[in-house]
Amino acid sequence: MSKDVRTEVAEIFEDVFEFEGDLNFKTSPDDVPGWDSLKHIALVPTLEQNFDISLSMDEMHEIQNVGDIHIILERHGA
Amino acid sequence: MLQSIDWAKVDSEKITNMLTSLDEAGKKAPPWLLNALITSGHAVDDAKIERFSLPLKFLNRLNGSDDVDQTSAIDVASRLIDDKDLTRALIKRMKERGLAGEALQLALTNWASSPQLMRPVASTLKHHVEGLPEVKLRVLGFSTTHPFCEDLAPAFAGAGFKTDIVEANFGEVIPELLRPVDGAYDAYILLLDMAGFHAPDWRLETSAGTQMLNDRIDLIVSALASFASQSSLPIFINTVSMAPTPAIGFLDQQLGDGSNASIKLVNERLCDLASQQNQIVLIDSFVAMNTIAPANWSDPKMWFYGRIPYSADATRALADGFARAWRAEKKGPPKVLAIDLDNTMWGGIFGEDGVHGLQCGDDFPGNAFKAMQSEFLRLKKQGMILAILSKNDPVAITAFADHPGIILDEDDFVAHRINWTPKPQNIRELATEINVGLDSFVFLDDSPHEREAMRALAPQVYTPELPDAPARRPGWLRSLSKTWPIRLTKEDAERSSMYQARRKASLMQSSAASFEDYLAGLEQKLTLEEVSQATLPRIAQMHQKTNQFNLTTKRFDESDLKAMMEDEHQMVVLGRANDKFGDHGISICATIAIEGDKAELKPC
Repeated sequence: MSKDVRTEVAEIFEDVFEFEGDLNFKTSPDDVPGWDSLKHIALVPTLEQNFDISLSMDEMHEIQNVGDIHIILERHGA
Repeated sequence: MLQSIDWAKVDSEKITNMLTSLDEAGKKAPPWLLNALITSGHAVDDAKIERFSLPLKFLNRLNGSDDVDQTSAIDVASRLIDDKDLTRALIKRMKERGLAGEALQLALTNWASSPQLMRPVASTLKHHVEGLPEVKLRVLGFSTTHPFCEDLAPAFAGAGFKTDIVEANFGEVIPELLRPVDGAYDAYILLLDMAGFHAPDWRLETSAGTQMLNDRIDLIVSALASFASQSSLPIFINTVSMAPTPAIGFLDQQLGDGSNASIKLVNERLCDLASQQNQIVLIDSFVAMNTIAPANWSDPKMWFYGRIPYSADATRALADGFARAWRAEKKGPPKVLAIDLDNTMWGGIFGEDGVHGLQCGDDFPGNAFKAMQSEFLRLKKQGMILAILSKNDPVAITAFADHPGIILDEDDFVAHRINWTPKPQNIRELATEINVGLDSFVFLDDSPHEREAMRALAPQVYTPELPDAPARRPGWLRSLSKTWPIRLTKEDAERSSMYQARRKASLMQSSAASFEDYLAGLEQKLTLEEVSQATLPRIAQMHQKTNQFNLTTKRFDESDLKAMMEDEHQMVVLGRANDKFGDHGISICATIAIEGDKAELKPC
């Protein structure tokens, strides 16, 4: 996982959840106060737009923590 | 290989060497390379990029050590730029060179197509909106409105407003409309999608399905009418966009339960209501989303996951549409349109080409200028005042009377300044004469220098970028949303609905009439006149161009025709056709041979 992608994901978390703490692969909705189901809906298009990819519905459900996001991004070649 | 290099990491000395060795080898650096170098932060010799766009030239100047002028910065900040890498680089460098406000403006201008651009200016935005007038909005919708509400803040900031948004409970539209709360808000917003109207039941007969839809529309329309009777607040509603995927294929617009037939019905009823209730303001979704491919207006995954009616791109576009409407509501369109003459009002230069050398009329390229003049008349009809602002010989005003293709009259203009005084000074005089502020002006000029001077010396005047190509200008002017009135005066509105009713009635009648009746009803008129110096070029052109209806093989050119005009035994005549749908201009011509008291029409 390149450093650029990690930085980008951190910036997206700042945008969407206004979360400025450290992120690791285990960071989950329990650790990020703003990460509720409504905001999850905003997270997906933001990821899609930033990395120019399109997620499937299964992938939307698959995201349980930051690690899952990176796995999906890697799968899409980001 | 060169394309894949990250130029930002290459030493500027090496770049200079590379460009110098290209120069010495007598080779020109390719435009894509110069573009990549500038975008990645390097400065190149100005002479190499003379033909590049202003934003790229400006970035080049920012990259160098020269002083940057704020006028260009303001100009660049108001532009929609297709190249996202360029926009990102501009925002970054503008910020670094102390142009934080302009960097923010550029990000806001381009936000709807690329929201990521806001990231580097997020802190500037927070500070900036604190100084803006606040608008308190209550947002309703039949589907999930949350992503839309998030987008309203940057959209309204771009239009010059700070937002305070309260989202109603999910799907609660009717109860909210029936019990409006006046004091707490400045406006209501209803984000509409078809989910509010119609889940088609395919077990029903078509007529029963249509009845159900009508009942649902009745409910919403009466709730809106009730809102309007209880509250004085404006309510902004988007129309429902047409469906790119039809429910009944070829028949979708014809059958009552087709998706697009249903959508048309909803929109018609909304328009009827809005034309009766001034408080109801409609935002045309199709216009708001016109840069997005219809297939991308919604994202089925987001719909089924969270009942989000519009895709992320479409949601931003709609938020932008609502923000523009609010700006029009608060500030209204500008009052005066100040127009340059040469190459703006008409093609060509009065002082060099003379009146009859000016391009304006029915043929290319004059037809583009004529179409633009028609747009000026439209704006006049919509309540704007027209004025002329031209560096020219004052006698240029005579072109309006003397040139047959110019459709505007001198009387269409309330005031004019046709002289050699600088335009920013002239516009101040016009403002005093007409008694309006400078911020009531829109200034149209084909010259980038005149526009730059106006922006620098009279920044309150709205000076948009007029497209270089005359053919693009009429459409461009129509889409200039700052000139859109949110509502016409009551008299105007009544007049237009009266016309509509009359038109509908005449349509009904004409459908029953025969083709002969139709022709008789056209009120066709043919006016004959002798060809003059002014109309000669057009006649010569007709001779050269027309084939299908020219039954002889004779092709007269301008000098042949002139000779015939001067010959006392010959006459050249033309005919102008018009009917109730409009003027079709010069349509026929003929030559006549005169022998004593006998005149013979010669076929041609």
